[in-house]
Amino acid sequence: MEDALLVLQLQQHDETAFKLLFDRYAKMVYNTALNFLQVQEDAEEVTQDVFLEVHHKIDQFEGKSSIKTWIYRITCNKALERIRSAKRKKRFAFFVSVDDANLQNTIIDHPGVDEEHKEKMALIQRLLGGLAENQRVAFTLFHMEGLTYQEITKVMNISLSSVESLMFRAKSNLKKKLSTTNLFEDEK
Amino acid sequence: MKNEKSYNRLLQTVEATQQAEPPSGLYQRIHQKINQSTPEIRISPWQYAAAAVLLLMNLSWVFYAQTTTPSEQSETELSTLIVDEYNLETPEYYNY
Repeated sequence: MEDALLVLQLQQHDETAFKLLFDRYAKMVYNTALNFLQVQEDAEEVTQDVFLEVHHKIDQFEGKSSIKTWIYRITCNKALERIRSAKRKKRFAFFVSVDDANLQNTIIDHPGVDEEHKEKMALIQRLLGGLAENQRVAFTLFHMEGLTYQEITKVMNISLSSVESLMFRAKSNLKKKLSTTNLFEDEK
Repeated sequence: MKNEKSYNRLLQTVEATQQAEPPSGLYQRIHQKINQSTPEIRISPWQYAAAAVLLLMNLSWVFYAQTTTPSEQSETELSTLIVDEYNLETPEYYNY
């Protein structure tokens, strides 16, 4: 079934269509959330939130973009909301906790990351956490999701030159941050 | 140059991430949440307009009532009046 027809059926609150949509996009949503959050439990909750949002807001979907783009956009927003909320909690815990050493650790619970890469991935996530939100979204969608610049323009609703600029700034910021760490220096 | 190499290694690590399968039973949990959630209340523009008209009617009635009703003596003024007229030295209050 084509996406346009699927949307029509979803707007008529067809349960079979919703199941079909879930089967088609659940993996994409789950993996995008996982790439942002790196924790399975959080990614599952974001996936649930995304499909609930799709179910509630499908009547407002005007078809200006594809349903896939729309779902990607919701997923990015939900994942970012979760990251923001985690940051707020950390900030609050910093004031409450006497020893904040354990707050600096980033947990990696991603089944797609090898054991040997987990430590590096944790550090990479901390570096990505230091980027501006839109730079992080562009970087994640391009390098982790494999989207093209053209697809990113649609998801982020920005121009191609803006995507290029975001990617350039993300790259130069990451390089700057890398110069202050010894993340890959032990490798030859 | 050194930064470029480090950045390329970072990209290699990031891009080596494998896709994961969503946990089983996820659809059932979403379906359960959908059934539990109450439908969003939607108000149409006509309903907003009707509510605004009712509010305006009420406000105009309050305004009309305030401007046309003659002013009454306040409770303080009335109690002062009663106390002034009350005279303990006359026994007329007991003449019943």
